[in-house]
Amino acid sequence: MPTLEPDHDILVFDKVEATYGEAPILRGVSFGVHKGKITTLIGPNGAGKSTVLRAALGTVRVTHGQIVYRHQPITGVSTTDRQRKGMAYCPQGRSNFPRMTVRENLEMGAFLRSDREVQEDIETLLDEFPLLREKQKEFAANLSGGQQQILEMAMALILHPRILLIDEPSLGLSPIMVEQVFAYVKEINGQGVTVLMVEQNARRALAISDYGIVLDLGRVRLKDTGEALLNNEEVSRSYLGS
Amino acid sequence: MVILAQLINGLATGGLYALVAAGIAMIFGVSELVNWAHGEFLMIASYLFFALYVLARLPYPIAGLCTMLLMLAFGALFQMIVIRPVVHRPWQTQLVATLGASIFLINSAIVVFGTFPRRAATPLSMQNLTIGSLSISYQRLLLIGLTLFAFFVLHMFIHRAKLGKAMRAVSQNRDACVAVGIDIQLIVLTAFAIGGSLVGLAAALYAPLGNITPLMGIPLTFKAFAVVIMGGFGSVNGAVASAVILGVVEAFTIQFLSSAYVDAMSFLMMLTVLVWRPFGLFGRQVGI
Amino acid sequence: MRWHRLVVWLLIAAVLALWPLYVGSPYLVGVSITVLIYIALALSFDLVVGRTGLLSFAHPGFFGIGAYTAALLGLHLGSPFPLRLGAAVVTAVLASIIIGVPSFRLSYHSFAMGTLGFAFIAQIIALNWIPVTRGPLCLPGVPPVDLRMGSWTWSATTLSENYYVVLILATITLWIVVRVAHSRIGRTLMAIRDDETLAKAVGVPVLRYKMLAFVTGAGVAGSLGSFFASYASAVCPTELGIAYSVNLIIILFLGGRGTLAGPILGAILFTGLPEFLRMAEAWRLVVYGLLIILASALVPEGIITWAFEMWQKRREGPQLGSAPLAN
Repeated sequence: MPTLEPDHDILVFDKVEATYGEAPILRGVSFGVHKGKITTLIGPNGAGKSTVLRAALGTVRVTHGQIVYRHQPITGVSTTDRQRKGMAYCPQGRSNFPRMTVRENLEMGAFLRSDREVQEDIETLLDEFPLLREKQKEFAANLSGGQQQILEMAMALILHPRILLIDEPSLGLSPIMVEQVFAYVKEINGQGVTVLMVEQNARRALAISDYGIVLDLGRVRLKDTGEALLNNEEVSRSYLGS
Repeated sequence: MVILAQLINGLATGGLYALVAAGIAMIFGVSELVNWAHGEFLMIASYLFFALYVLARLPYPIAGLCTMLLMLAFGALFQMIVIRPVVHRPWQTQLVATLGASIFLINSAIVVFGTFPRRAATPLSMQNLTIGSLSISYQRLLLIGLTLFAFFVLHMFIHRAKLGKAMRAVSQNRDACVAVGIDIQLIVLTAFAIGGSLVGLAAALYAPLGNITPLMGIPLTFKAFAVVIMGGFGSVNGAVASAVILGVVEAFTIQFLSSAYVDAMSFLMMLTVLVWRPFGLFGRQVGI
Repeated sequence: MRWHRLVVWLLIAAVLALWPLYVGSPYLVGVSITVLIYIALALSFDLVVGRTGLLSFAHPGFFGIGAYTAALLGLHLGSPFPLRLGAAVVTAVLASIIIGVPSFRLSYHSFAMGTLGFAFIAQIIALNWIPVTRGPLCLPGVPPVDLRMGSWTWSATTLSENYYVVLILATITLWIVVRVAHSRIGRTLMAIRDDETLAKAVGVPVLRYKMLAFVTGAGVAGSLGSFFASYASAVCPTELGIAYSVNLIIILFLGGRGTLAGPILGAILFTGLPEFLRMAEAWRLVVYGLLIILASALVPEGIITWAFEMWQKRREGPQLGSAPLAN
């Protein structure tokens, strides 16, 4: 069984605490995200899963502990600098610009880049996601929910991220689209991008994940491979809703 | 002929309203904040123009251009000093902050320039184009022409430039902006700077036609805001279209009804529109 | 504890009653009357702004409508003050219903702008309806506040007498506001202000409650207008002006919304401070403008709320959350 070894970890949470208003959300979370793998955070509502992603991105303030990214503590590094250093984020729910075209959305995904290859990269992405090329001149609002989720993932990829933080990609999608979105996540990972994902649809997500982390009430309950967690009876009973 | 003359006068006034209202709409679009001091921007810009053109005797185009540039900086500074500290406060607090700024600007102008009206007539504002019985001052024609040009440039900026596209992005989905690394404060600053420079242009074009007084901005804020509401909140195109309509309606009110009620027209129109179509003349639109 | 409080209230009442005798100078009594009018207006305005969260610009309009109603009745029919006051309240309430019904369909900024529009139109009517209002020439010669009982008549001719009248009116206003705040209506209004969606979800007729606050505030403003017409002995279109709205908003936001002490402190600061500052109007407003910008950045909930929080923190040490000031 592979272990979570710090040397392999691109992102490490070390006793991280965070509050939302006055209420503590993360109460000392420690784990590592293995470079080049898919790691999924599962757990009940209010466990603090989304907060983990936001803390990594820096939109939630960490009150105690630290986050280490590529062997460097990133406390005090601004969100945009973290994004420049290779963190990309797909928030929960629709996070595109509904009255801008698909192509304009992709350009906005490249907002932090000022090099000349942006248009080339957009072309490459449109090749990778043919359904986006087909609709490149349409408003994002005219795409189906699943197509919008794929657009948002593509927007995140333009920054050439080392790690993709993705929050509930399957939320509100039809079963067929869920399959397709997970297939894309797998494909993105295949290109060498580390993925840290939050998913309600825990069974499906663990099935494509290398590792899983169970979060409950702001603490890490279990860390293991995706497969092991799927076969763990207690996890099945308490968190997978079998 | 009277009708044509009034139509042109109305378009000129509408152009002034449009330049002020576009800024309010754009700022609202990216920050959901109403700048109640926007009319005072025009007042400050008019005094700036007066200082540059009448006192410093700069040539008209240069005085106008300098007014625009100074107002660009003024808008940006205003955002940093007045708006930034209240960005995360409820809308009432934001409103009161801009109201305070408006009181401060008006009375600072009274302290510096007094309440005596100033004039900044240009050679163009004293000459009329006469065709038959139609007589229109060249200044008004210049105002209409340059306003059209300014809106063309603004449209290109919003739809072609990266920063302009980012402004639309902010007005459509703020969370998504965080995800892709668009700095919302920078975009709001940009909107204030553009709003300031549009008002600077308005001052350079309109100040020669009227009096410059410390209180001149108050009715303008109200009318521009009324127009923004009529156009559907935050929609620049809707605001501009409504502004032109208001200008023409006012011109005809003066001609055919009474000049006493002209300032009530904006509110009457707005209230009618709000009762009839609560989301404005052009329906509910998202973003700029 | 009970009598302890009673003593405090009696002391305050005694100070307020003896105040005109103590200050002596007619000028300062005049200032005190202005302060009391503003206190009462601000308290009634807070009923709308502080307790529904809606920013209305129509409030001074109701004050002005009340003033015009009372002035016209006094001038043309020679009606006694209680009748003028009653009529002023009724017209202000009617006007608030006419304005409120369409305005409450609007949200936030549009509501502010809609009510501003009505106030603006009211002022333009006052300026231009010459046969009735004499426009910018104002309506002079409004009879003073008077009471008649058979052959006995009394009228408030001196400043001190007017002071006592407005003191009584301000006390009644305070009483109404306290009653509303402590009633089920007041608590419902607070619930609506804090979470309108939730209030709607549990079946509160939100619109009716907001309307109730709006109309009550308007009635109080109208009654104050009837007093003002007699006190100033003239009514001008400027009484309907938006300058008053801005003053009231400043008072509430400096002092503190949704409290009793806030509007009172705000009114005293706003009308009393200039007497200390003793500077030209424009300079004074420059200072006010700056103060408002600073206050919105530093003490956005008002001085009273801020002071209360500071006091509570010091008394109870660091704690989670801080209770909002409830009256």
